[in-house]
Amino acid sequence: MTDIPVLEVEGLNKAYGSIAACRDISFELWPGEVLGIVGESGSGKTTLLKCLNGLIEADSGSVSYLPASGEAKTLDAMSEAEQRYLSRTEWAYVHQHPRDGLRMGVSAGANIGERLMSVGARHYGNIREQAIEWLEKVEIDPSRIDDLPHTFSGGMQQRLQIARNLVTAPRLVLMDEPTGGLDVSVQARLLDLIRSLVRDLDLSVILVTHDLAVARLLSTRLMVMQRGEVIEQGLTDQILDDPQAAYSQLLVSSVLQV
Amino acid sequence: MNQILRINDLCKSFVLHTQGGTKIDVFSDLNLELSGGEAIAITGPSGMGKSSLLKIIYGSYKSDSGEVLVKHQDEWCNIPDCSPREMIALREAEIGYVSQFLRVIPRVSTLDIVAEPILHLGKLDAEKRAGELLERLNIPQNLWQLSPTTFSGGEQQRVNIARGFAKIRPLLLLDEPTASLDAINRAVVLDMINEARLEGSAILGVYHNIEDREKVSSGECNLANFREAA
Amino acid sequence: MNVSSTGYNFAYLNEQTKRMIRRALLKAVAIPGYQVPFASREMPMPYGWGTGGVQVTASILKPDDVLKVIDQGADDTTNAVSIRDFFKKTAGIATTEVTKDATIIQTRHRIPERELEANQILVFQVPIPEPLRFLEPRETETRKMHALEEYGLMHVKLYEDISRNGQIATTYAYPVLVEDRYVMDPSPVPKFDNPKMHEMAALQLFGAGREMRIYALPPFTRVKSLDFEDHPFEVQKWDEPCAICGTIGSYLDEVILDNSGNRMFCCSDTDHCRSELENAAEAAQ
Repeated sequence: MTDIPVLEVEGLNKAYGSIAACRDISFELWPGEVLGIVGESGSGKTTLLKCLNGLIEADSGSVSYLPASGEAKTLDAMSEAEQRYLSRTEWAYVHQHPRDGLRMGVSAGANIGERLMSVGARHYGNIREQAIEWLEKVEIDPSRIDDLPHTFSGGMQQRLQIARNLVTAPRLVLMDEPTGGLDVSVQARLLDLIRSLVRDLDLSVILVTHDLAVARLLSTRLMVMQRGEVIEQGLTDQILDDPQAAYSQLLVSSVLQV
Repeated sequence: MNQILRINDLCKSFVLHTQGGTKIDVFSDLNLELSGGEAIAITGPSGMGKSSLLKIIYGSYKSDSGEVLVKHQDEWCNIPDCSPREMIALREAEIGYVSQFLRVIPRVSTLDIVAEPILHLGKLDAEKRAGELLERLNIPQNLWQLSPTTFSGGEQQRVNIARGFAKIRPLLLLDEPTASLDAINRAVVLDMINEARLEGSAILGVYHNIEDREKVSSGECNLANFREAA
Repeated sequence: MNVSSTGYNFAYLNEQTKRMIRRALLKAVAIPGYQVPFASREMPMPYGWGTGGVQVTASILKPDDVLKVIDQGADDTTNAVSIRDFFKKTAGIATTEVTKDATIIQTRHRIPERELEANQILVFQVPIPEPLRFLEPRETETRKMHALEEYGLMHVKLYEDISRNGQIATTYAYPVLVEDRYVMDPSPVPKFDNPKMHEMAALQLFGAGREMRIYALPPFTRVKSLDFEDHPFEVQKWDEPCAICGTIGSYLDEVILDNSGNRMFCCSDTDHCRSELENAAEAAQ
């Protein structure tokens, strides 16, 4: 067990005008851990996620990241070049809508190869080999390597987005509703994929979802957000089985039973 | 005797915010001690909080007050004070829990589910051990590669037990492990519990019938004694 | 013709404008391959006809300069003839079609076959100066990518080429890396001309009028065409010689001769073709 968290967030605030999207949020993310963030839409989950990898600048507070090499550093202390480099190497961001995370104008292979090329891969054959390997990992027929993403189904696009993000073996993966909008059988396959990737690659993941079943199956820990605030956090089974806050109880009791 | 669990003055209630803040008292001032090789059955009428007690020890439920001390690396850890991360480490090292329900990701094979807690042994050894357990619990080999989500209740329960026993931990919490099993499989599970106990594990269990309870328990803790007089 | 009597300032642009453009040119020369914004003026010709190149030429022209203008290698196309006449009229300078006699050569889509010399300046007309644009349309983003040297995307484009065509199918405007720093669009010259840019003795200036950008390659700048290790950069080759002058190794145009599909290949550089013919005739005598 290492004693330094991959990510350390302290007193993070972000407001849009007079509306607070994130209020005084603090937490730590440990290596190999999956942290679920649940809460209704508009509770600030996605804003928080975007603040964490610099897509949105927070109003106050600090986000400190421990890179593979060396010492923890806050986002503020990093140059833009450093942040952008991390976001193509050690960080990954899986968007809710695959179209936001894919380059729709180029083939599946180029989508996967982009991160490799951005860090200096210059051997076409090797890039292609890795792209094929990743297509297989995410269960997309490798013969589709030269097809454009828009010829793929929604579930395939989402898997392609995951492959594109994980090809550089990131340490920190932020996922925004990765299984939202997919039918349940595709969702199950994706959950299985994410679970095994997390285990095999020792990823640290922050998973934003409003689906408590997804949160239960994937995350070790949960944070419940409401109106920009973290109202409860703890072990996933504790939050779901014995929620303390009124809103958490409402959330858990509102889940439909199959 | 090497004590592994010590519960002091534990109180638990539920506050139902969605139902006007109704407070339900479960038990109060509960005391319990458990050592390696001991097996205590939690008894009492239904609704007394038998499962709740197990879940508090496992960290799934919170408690109102009192201490739940578990021995970890020669030190007592108080579970209500543990951070999630400490709790995970504690579960990993000390506490096994077999619940009544199997919760798994659809599509993951039965063998993988059982082998998962012991993957640190290496995939082959983990699968070998998982296979042995499944065989002992009479899960036909042709089902091992299937997801248990479509299995019968009894089969699911046995997969759950196999997973729970894959790694024998010093403290085993069993929540009606034999509830939906036939006579043959019940006997197997009871044997497995006794074996774990002989190997030195401390066992705290809730059993739905007296017969099973008597076969595996050395003592009893009746929760009716800790009900606050209404 | 007396220039002052025409009512135009020397070389059409006023002195302030020329000064502004020269400043941009100096900056561009100081940072090879970097796109310098400039306040492009309206010119008496439509965009796409070389307004960028014309402004650059106007700013560097001296009364004793000899100007050559080519379009796709030819001196006699409408675009080339018009621009040559434009400067004849507004600057009263001498013009030529002979590459070695010119001090300034304004070009659209070609670099002359003849090796250029240190006292010459090559001015390119550029339609789209941003090589990253086709994959990243946001100008704010591409500027950042240049600043931070994030050029992976360029290879994504080449990757797509190979995966679709089995080879890098980009044949013109083939991206280059300048002095191991800036990725640059060499304007739509055929990739055949890319190697000529490398360590050229002449100064190369690029002007994009509509896009308001100027960039430059000072003499003897290192220019490398992007490629993959296992798909190295290659130039076009022809099996046959020029049908007119008979030389091998120049860039050939395909000319359709009739409706029955007869065609010929001849030098795209008309001055080169003519001088090769003359040389051959002299040798024969």
